[in-house]
Amino acid sequence: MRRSVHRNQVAAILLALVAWAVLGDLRLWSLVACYLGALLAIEGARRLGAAAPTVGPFAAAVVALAPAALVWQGRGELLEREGLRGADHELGDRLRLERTPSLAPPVLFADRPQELYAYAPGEEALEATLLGGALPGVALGHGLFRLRYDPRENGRPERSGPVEVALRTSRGPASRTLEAVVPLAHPRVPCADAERGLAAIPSEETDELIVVDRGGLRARLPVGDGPTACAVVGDAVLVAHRFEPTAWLVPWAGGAPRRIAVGSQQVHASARGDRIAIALRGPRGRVRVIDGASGHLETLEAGEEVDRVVFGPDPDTIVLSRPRAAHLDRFRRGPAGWARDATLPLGRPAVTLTSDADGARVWAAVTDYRPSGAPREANHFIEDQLLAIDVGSFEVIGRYPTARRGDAQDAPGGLDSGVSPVDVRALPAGDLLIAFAGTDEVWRFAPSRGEIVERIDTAAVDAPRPVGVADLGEGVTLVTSPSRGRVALVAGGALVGVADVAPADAELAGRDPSALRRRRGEQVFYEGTRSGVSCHSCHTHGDTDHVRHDIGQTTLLYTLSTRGVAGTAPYLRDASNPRLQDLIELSRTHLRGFRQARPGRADDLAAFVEALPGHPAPGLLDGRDVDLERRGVDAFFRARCDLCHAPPAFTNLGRLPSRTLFPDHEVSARQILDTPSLIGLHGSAPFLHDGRAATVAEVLEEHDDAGRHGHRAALSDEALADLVAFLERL
Amino acid sequence: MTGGAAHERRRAAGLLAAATFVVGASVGAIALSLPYPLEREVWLARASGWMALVALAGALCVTPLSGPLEALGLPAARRHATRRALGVTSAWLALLHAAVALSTYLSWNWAVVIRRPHLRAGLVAAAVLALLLATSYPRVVRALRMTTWKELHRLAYVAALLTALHVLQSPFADRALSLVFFGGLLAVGLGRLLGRRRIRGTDRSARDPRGTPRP
Repeated sequence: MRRSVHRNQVAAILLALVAWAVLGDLRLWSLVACYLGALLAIEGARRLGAAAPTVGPFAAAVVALAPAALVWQGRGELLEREGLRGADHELGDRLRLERTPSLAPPVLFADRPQELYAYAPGEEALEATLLGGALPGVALGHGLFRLRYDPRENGRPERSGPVEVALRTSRGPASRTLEAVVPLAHPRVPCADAERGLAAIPSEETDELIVVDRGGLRARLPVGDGPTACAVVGDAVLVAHRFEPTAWLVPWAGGAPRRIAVGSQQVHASARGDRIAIALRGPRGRVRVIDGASGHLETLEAGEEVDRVVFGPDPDTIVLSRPRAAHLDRFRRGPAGWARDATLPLGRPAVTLTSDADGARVWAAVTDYRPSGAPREANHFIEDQLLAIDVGSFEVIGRYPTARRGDAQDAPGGLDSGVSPVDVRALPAGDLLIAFAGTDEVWRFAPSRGEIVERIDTAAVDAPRPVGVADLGEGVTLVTSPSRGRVALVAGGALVGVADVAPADAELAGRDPSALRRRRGEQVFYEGTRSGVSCHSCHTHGDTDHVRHDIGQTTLLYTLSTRGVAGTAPYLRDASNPRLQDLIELSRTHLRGFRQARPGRADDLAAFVEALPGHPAPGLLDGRDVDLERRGVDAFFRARCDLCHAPPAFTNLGRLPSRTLFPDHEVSARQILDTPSLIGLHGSAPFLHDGRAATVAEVLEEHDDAGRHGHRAALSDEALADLVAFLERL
Repeated sequence: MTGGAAHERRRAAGLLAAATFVVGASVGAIALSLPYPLEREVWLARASGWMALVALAGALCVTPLSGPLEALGLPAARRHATRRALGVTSAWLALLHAAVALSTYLSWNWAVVIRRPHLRAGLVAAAVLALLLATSYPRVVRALRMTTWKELHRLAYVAALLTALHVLQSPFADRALSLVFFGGLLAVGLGRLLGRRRIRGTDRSARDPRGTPRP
């Protein structure tokens, strides 16, 4: 009997494996079905008088060989079908958040202030120690704590890598690990004085202003916290800051800078004569306009978010770029102050904005031009182009598509030139200098003739993925490569000077391999594929272009920001990407691949994206109303938001069918939603999976008729307002 | 089936039914106290799922832990009856868990159930347990004249594997607890495998070359 059982068992297993191999359906349920079929076959054979054959070990191994080979060959497919691909990443992120007290986000950025959330259920007090010093924290209730880290106050890790945070609660000590990112210098967008032959380039990561002349590096000047942009103002350079509430006027000749109180989150600056304009990031769209001579400051309330500002032909005319609304606005200063008097819809936001020397024309680089504003229903549509806009009539007077096929084309139809223009400068003679991050080029372009007068191969001067360009006069062109940490000075196609503010690859490989991976990942991010599309094309500088795109789904979807996503596997709205590495697949499946093969792209890209910080929360810099926060947290838990948006990351990393939460929304039955983290919610409008909610309040008040997206009924109107206020400041 | 074995089966089934009822009533009472529909549904689904899983794990652990259970005064007949009762209970609870999840937060959305790997794994595990449930009754086995009953019921291990896939990918399951749970189950199973090999080795060395046991 025992032998019969063994014989039957072995026969059943082998039969099942063979049937599975023949079917070729690599799914576990089909293996189970094959096993049941094998048992039925054995039963049937027995009733016909046949017994299961005796199979020796060698014979069994031979028979099992084919199915084993099939499984080995298709192991990736098997893992994918059973949801196990990248399961280690998801499990790792999940375990890290479940192990309380837990911390989020999991990355510590050594170059900027940031907030961390700690969750210790049932605790009323928590102490945190980092780099030998206490991290100030605020108890928000329900075991949630907000910690603040500022490298200037709490110390800076010496190198990238794991850093320990010691936590102490009533239950005793606990140690948690964050991944510290110590970024290298990133010289981005320069401001130049061609007559003097000088240029200044801010590096936000290292809080410095890099000053170069036609021969190379002149000085590296420490400036305020997080310099983002600069503009030449007479004998000085105006430096705008993200975390510093003042803008600095730094004299070219050296000496103490003059500080002007303008508020933090300065993102762009422009100057015309003595007048300076500084755009501040935020929903109100404020622009500080400063008279450099008198110091008089005015505020232009633009009403919605602004990311770029340039002057027109006179100091009383300003052109603003709107990232979310994808249009330009012209403001003029009159007796009653600044007022908008013209709007120019573009259809896509300006990637960069610059003006001619006399300000009569403004140049914008865009990824498509659709003045009607209607979204383009074409899969991953990108058409890089420059728009010439006459400031007086405020009309587009010229369109210059840039992406084209050059001599480097190695496959039919590939776009290998003019991809992703990121910086444009107008030269006195009317020509333009254009930096193309996607194809490692700088053009000197004559728009009047539509002709490329000169082409600089920036890869040849080890300045890949150029982001900034400027004219230094006497034929010298300045090119910045933030990923490489280089400012290259080129004349006549040859390198005539260089300012290296970050180590070369070879040195970085030995000193800080993680920094080299991030550098390479940054270069992957900006690299153009054969289709002329790069990650940056839609995820502008790691963020979002705020545009609804056709990406092959049934509905148009707003571009997600790639900032602040570390530790929130799986990724994308439908949680289809278990790992950040999987994002690279899009380049192969939809974008015709990269022009050159290079191993390790996926891991490098993941390393870069993981190290992208989110935008600072409104309260980080402007202070917080802690009582309001606590009321908001209380409302959060009473409404049971924590069921899915579990602290400290404000997501349980789970997936739910869309109809589970929104049975009244018209969505596909198959649609799955990844529970998004609510950290960074302040900058991610519009909301919900399809962007149907313009505000956080709308999410809860207008798009939850079924009452399943949170326990709204548990909240009074005041509590709901507190909850909305809390979420808007996360 | 002898009268003693039948008695043990009835006894074990009765005890388990009582325990399941008490736990189930507590689960239900807690569910009624939750005003938020989604939370209530998730609670019911999780609770019924864990009840099914604990019963299945219990059924799978009875044989590997025969030695300690024997030492605790649980004779073979009672162990067998307990194993069967646990298995039957786990199957019923698995079906209940599937019914709760499908009828509440999944809203009978078969498109999602079939496409989501963890839901599919759970569905197949429940189907396997249902099949084992149907063939857990001697009358049924006799009527079908089954001779591959043991081979069929070894699918309980496959059901456990599928359940692990189901739990470790579900949105609300505690991952640490789940890993500890399934890790323990695996350890018990491995312990049984190694134990059987050692026993076989001992048996083999205790036999003379003609196959008869040595004194």
